[in-house]
Amino acid sequence: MKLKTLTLATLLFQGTLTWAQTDTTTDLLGLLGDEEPVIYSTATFKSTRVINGQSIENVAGGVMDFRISHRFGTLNSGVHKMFGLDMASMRLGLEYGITDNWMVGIGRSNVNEEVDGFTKIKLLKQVESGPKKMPISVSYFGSIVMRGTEWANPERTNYFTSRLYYCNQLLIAKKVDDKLSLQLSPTHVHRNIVATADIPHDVFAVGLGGRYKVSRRLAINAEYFKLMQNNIPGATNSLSLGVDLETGGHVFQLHLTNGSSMNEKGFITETTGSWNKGDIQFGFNISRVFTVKKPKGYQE
Amino acid sequence: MKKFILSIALLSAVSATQAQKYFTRNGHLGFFSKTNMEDIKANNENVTYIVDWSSGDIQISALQTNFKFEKALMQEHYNENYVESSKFPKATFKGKIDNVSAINIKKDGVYTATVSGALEIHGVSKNYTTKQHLRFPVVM
Repeated sequence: MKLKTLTLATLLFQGTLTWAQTDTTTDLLGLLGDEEPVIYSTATFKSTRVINGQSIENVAGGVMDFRISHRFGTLNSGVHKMFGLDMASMRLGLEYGITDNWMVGIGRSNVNEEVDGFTKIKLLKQVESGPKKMPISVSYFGSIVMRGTEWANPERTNYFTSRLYYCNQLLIAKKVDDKLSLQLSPTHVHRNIVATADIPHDVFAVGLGGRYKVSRRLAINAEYFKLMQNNIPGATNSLSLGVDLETGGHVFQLHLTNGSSMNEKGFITETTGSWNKGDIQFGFNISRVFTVKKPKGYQE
Repeated sequence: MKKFILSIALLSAVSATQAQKYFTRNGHLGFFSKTNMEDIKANNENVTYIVDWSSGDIQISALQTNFKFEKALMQEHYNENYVESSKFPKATFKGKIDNVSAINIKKDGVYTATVSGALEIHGVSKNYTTKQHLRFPVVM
């Protein structure tokens, strides 16, 4: 009895084996052996900004991004100021991808008449699947801001370098799944000039950002920058909540934030508004991309 | 109404695995769709094709992320929102040249091949039959 079962099993096994063999001969692609490609995570965030701060995304090589950003006045400014809509801080930016991994940008803000220039470089790219393994993406962001306002003390000797502010930032991001992405952004800001001797020139902060994709076109974003020191008079941590709306070539980012500046040294070190007191500003970023240089490999 | 025209490009850099089997990893594949807003066009130059001339079997495999679009954002939307390349990384075609006996690969000329088989994109497989011109010798 036992022997019979065994024979039957062997027969069945042989049967499947031969069948499998005939099957594989028609699997021509299988004959070639599969070359497993490295697939990197893409679209960790919809835009190059989470809200105020930089996201891990770059504009693609050869693409120009024209950005218009507005922050209205605070909601608690009341009906006389139309809850903030009467006032606006704004930044206009032109940002360009030199390669897929390296972008540069310039921007002009009416807050303190500032001009900013920055660069963002991809250092590590998260791998979605393939023979290589990389759980996170890492980028470096660096910027210089020039403050354009009249000197506070014109009677003394003022140096051009006193107008400058620097920011170094590491962006560490993880696309957890199709919907959820998270980012950690350790930040260092250096101010060449500060109001008094006991105010630090160097400021350290840590940013936390996240997005949750609700649909193909809509995502919810949140961003928080925590100052790692409390010796900056009046400064509060910047907190922003928003949505990203995407159409074909535009991304609209609508949000509420307590920071009115749109460059790093501004919203990280100079935010004074408090969510508790209602110093909340409505704002938006509009991004419109133009292809300046056609991608390599594309055929007309 | 979007109409995708799949054009199977000529096999390039053909190399023989066995007597009657030919393959390439640098085959070309493209699609084009005309819409009111803008035309959608992409091409992929790293497509794997394998043909067995004795049986007429033809199989094609294209990595979705290798399709190049004119606009980077269009490419991102294609991979992220439509074909979901992280879930369905490849588009494949597995079929047969029905009139393979009428094609003599050793003799130069233009042949019309009737190809039928299953095209799988985004995890959905559909059967198609199409006529394609084959030209020997292969010109790049």
